[in-house]
Amino acid sequence: MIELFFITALFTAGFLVIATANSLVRVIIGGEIIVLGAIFASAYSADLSMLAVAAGVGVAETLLFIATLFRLAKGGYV
Amino acid sequence: MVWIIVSISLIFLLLILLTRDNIFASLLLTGIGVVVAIGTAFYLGPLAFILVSLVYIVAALTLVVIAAATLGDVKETRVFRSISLAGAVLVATPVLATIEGGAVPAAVGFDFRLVPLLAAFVVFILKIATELSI
Repeated sequence: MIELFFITALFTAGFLVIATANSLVRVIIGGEIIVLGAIFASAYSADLSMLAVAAGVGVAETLLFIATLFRLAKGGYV
Repeated sequence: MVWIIVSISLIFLLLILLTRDNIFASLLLTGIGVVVAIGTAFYLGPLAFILVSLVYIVAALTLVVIAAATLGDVKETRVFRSISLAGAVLVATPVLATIEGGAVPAAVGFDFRLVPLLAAFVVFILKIATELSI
């Protein structure tokens, strides 16, 4: 039961970090925390395939966010 | 044993929320990634720990580089608005209202057909990321 509350706490904290963000790096940090909640949820359900998918999606999401942030920084928007 | 992981992670989450510096927040993300990776090792063994900690150390250290590159562009990196709580309440309330602890399902084996699919996905994302950043 405490694991379910922990997953909810991770999701909520990720959304709070995104909602209180004033710089785009903190938005990426919040997204990482939400993906961490997904990873812990898949580990709690004892599914290694789901954990591999969640980890791969975490890597892909980080790459896309960082590339977008890099492009915005080149344009002078950060 | 899980409550130790949960309490350390909650302290890390609070510190991330309160830290003003982006670089420190990224380093704290490394910490919470490793702590949750130890938590996943309770259910899936050392392989899950290696996978999750590898992903999160790489991701958070890349974020440190990005945060250092954009240092000084934004003076106030986080603003506590009261409307920010609305999002958290919207996320937390339906989950907490309908939560119920069921039986934990038995462990299933790893599906090896996922490996080429995930590899193709990450290569595709890499292509899009390079096209975005050029």
